[in-house]
Amino acid sequence: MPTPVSTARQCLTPEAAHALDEAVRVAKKRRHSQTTSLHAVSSLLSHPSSVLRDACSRARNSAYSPRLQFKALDLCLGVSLDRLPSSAGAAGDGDEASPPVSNSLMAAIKRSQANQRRQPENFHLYHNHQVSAQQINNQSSSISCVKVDLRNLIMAILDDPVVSRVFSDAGFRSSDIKLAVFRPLAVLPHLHPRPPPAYSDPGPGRRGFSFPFPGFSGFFSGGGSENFRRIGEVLGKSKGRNPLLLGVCACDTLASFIELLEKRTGDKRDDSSGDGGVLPPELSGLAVIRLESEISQFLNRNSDKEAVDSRFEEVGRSLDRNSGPGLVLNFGDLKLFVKVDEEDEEEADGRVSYVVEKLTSSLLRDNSKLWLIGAAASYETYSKFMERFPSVAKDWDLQLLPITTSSSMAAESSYPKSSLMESFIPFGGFFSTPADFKVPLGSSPYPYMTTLSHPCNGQEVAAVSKGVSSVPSAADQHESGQHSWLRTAESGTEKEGMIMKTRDDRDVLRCRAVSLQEKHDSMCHSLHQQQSPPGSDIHPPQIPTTMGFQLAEDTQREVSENDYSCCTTAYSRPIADTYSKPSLSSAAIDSHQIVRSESAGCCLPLIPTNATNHKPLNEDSGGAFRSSPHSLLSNSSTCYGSQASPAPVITDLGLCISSPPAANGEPINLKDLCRVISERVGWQDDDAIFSICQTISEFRARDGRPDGGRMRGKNIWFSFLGPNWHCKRKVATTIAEMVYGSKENFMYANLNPQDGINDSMFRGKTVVDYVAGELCKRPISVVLLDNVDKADVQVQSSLSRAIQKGRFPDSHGREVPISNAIIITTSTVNDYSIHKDLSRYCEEKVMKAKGWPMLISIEKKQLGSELSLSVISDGRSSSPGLPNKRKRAYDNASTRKGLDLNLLPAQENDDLLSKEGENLESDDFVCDDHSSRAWLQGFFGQVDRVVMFKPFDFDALATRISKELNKCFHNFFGPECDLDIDRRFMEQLLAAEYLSDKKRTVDEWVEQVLGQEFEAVRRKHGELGSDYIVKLVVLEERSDLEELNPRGYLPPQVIIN
Amino acid sequence: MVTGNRLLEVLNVRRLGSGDRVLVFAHGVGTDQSAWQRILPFFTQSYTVILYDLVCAGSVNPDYFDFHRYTTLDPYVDDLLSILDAHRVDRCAYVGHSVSAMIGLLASIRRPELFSKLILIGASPRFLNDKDYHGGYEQSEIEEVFTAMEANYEAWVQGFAPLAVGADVPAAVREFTRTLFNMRPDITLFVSRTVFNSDFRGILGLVKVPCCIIQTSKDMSVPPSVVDYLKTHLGGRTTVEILRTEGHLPHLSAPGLLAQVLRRALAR
Repeated sequence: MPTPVSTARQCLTPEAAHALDEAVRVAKKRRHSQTTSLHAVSSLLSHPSSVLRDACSRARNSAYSPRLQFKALDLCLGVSLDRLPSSAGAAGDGDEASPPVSNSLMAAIKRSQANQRRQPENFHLYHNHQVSAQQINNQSSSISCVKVDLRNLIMAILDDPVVSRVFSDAGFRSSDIKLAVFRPLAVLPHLHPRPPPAYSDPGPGRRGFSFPFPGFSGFFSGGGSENFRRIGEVLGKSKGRNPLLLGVCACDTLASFIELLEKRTGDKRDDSSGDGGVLPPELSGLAVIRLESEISQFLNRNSDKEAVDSRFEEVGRSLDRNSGPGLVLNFGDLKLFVKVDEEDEEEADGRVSYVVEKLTSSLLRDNSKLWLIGAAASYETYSKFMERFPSVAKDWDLQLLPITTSSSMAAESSYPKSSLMESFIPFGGFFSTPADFKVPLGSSPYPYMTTLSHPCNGQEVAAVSKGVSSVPSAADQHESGQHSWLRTAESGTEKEGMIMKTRDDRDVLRCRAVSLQEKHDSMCHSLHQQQSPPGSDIHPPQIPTTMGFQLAEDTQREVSENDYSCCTTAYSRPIADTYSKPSLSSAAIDSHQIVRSESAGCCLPLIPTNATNHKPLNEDSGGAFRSSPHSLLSNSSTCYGSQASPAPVITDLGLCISSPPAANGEPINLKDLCRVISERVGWQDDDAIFSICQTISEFRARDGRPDGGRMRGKNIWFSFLGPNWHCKRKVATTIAEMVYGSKENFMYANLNPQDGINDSMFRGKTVVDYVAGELCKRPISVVLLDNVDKADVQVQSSLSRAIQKGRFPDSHGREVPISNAIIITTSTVNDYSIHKDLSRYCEEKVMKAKGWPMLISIEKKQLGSELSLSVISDGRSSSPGLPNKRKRAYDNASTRKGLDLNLLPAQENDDLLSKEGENLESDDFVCDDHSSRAWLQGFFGQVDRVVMFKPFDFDALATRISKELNKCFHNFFGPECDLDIDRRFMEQLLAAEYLSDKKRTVDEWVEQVLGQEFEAVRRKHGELGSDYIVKLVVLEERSDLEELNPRGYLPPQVIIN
Repeated sequence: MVTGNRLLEVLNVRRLGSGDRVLVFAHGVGTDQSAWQRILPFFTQSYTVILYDLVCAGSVNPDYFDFHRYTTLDPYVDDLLSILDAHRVDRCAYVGHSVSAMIGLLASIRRPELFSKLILIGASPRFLNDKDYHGGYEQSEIEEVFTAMEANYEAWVQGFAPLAVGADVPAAVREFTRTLFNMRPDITLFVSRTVFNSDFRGILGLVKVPCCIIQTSKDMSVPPSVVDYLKTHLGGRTTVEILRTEGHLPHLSAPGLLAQVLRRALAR
């Protein structure tokens, strides 16, 4: 049932209504009974400036000339219109009865109405600013009845199958046209400063803005055109208007620019607008005079002054004659002006100066109409020239123009053959994508409509149609025009093309085009599907990880609570144990005694904290886990020891079995922890260890501390300050083992970016990412972060956030919960490293020791050599006068001061060097030093416990070891024989002892290995008299002997010299 | 101003951080501004950082890539200078990677007063070998690369990315592959040609702004001799920093290391 025109008009904006009127007029003229979409199209196309026509011209196939294609469209449309039934007998009364709107057209109007109602904002988005101004007003005018505007109406009409058939018959694709209507070419005023140069325009068949690719052959006058444009800009300036091109390609560019100008002036009559966008309009018609050959001849002494003079006179004359904007004088390559002439320097100089003078004077004569242009290949040439003629820069009013791209190279034939450019356009540039790093472009949700609709297909179709047309070399062209992967993918296509060549049939062409397009689309499709995985891979699947992690966290939380209850139920036992264990080291006993005294004071020291901290926790985690029986259990078990109700205990035990500590069969216990740690790092002072252990057990007992307003889970933050790196590490691993059940639950990172080790370990990740990643993998672990004082800004902010929020952010801003981790940061901040310079053996040096092979050498004592000998002994007693007493005069109190007098200077040197190194490093961060320190102070203020570590007393250990060595030595040799221990040797032994888990490792080694070796020496050399000295040294860097002892610092045998 | 704002939008210009000093990060071909993501945290506290995408980047609407205009590096310089002007920057330090290093050099020739320092990462004035210049590539090799790129862009990307990244850092390779593949292949090819056709050797002397060349110990695109060439020919005070890592994209493969060196270079 057709709709009356007036009804239809109500739904339209004036503009659209006008279009409808036109359509009705067409229908009336043709005496059709109804106004259909075809009429609408016809009327829309009839206006040369109509939106649809514009869209068509942009969406058209660039292989045809637009004129032809529009003609084809007209024909197709005409044919279709002719087929429509005309209204019988309505010829006479045409005036009053306008043909009503057909159902299909009305449906189109309704569709567009609905569409517009649905997506007004989309509409706005794609609106061109020029066109939109008039229409947006209309659109907002009525909300109840949406008035369809022309653009939407066209879109809807194009959906009409009848219409799209017409368009496809004419070689258009309605989807292309829709795209073009939808998005009028967005011309960036800035990015498109001027239309493409006409000279590069391939012909009248192409409009400057063929959508969206410019005509391809026009591409590659390329690098040149941009350079020329810039030269033109300089010429158009009022000051600094004489360009001097500089760059390796400058001379080429200059030559082609001059050529271009000459050509253009030659063609001037036929092509009035022909400066090709190169020159500013006011300079159009600029003439060129080449002087470079005359100048070069003159400078090379192939001509004389007269020739040059006459040439310059000629210039003057043509300048007078010139009616245009002026003349450009090309003086060519500057190289000639600075060439050093060996034969006759003076004359050469004279000639150059003469030319320069001539140029200057002609410029002075009429500088409004005369330009100079030249080039220099290198900066050196230019600067030499400027040195020689310093005034020229001003006289010639030169403007340096760096030329970095050669125009000739850009024009190389390789460009146009790039079929890639023609056929592959992923998104047709339709959707502007903001810099959203999380959403890779490849995974853009938009349909492939754009790919499909892109005229690049058209280009291919063009290639095909070329093949079909009767051009002799069509097959070749076809081949070259096609994408090679496309070619390989569809092997039969060419043959097909050859066959088809014989028939110049439009239908076949169309079929072929369609099939090609389909293939192309599927290609694009698969290509893009392949594309997305790498994009999405970038961000590792965070959600599953987090979920898994959450789970683990929860279990852990439960577990740790269980730990605590277990630990408290079992509380009485270890105390009793302690009493009955006489073999414990004094340190361990000490700490236990402290505990005991505390527990004596308040029965169970942890009860109060525990009891008070349960409630806030419940609020915090709020999970089903934190059911009341559970906390009840904890409370009850703490308060009443083993009297807790049996049922929950059983559940707890069941849970405990699956948890690491339980599997270890060793519930965490303050005293056990203390004991184990002190065993491992026995020399560390007990206060430190005890405070660590106490903090851990206290914090493990609570859940999520509300203290200080921080709700950050059960993580514990330590700062271990002071020296003794190894001890800190050992403590950390021990904690991991004791608290989390395994040494595996430990991770380490050095925050000092100066340490090169990190980069291999992190494999390109930043420290923050590494730590976050490890935390992801092992949420329940001890994290040891060394050198927190050297941390960079990123780490600092991550740490600050982590300590406040209980979540550790990585560099992408993702956060890893750390509520069950123990985070230990260490620092060797200077304030705490006491006695550093007093002791002979410092940690750094000991840590540098390697497992070199060791050597016993026997030397005869020489008179003068005593001074150079070093004996482990007191400094005062090692005076030359008392050689024999040296080793006996042990004085424990004084060993600390001077173990090795003779090496003292060297060591000081070393220290100095290392200090210098430090200074150098710290200089790099001078700018951050202050803020960094402030941050560090703030950070230390936030950690749960700052523990000071005392330096390890290497001197005492050295004394003990040397005592041991001497004892062993004198078992085999008489007291009159001296033992000399090299400093490196001692360092290696110290390292062995220091780093070993056991105590007295070195003592054992001395007894077993060294003892044997001494015996061997005695067997070999017999009893040594007082004039012999036995030296213990390490063979450093003797790679020929043996590689580093893989088994550690203590070699299984010692070489005897 | 309208054009300026539009440009800021098109090139995804971002301004981060709050510091007195302005620091501009410009990425190279095949990446976009996201390449600096790992470097940024080190600088946003003490600098105002300006980020933008080159018009050829995958994150920029390819329609804005005007094949007639971006035939040399100068239009890129225009873009950069317009951005800086739009943000009213009167002085800044500039960190440019690869092609952007070159763009920075050109920009500093045009507006020396605008730049306090140029930091050039993986820069090369000329990639092709010449009589007495070793740029690392022969013309024929380049043509091969282009052919491969045309033949199968995806395969080329997959093969090229690990080479360029150099160091064994899968994440960096993935990231580079992603950004490289985001670029429309024709644009990649076009820009690559532009880059390989560029020759900065003649104009290095015009650069008077102090430069710092940051180079990895092994870079497939930039042989060590190029660094020497740059150092001797650049007109301003020039320092060289060799990173203890490999590859052409240290900001992806060793961000921590690069950030430290950058800080040091900027502090000087």
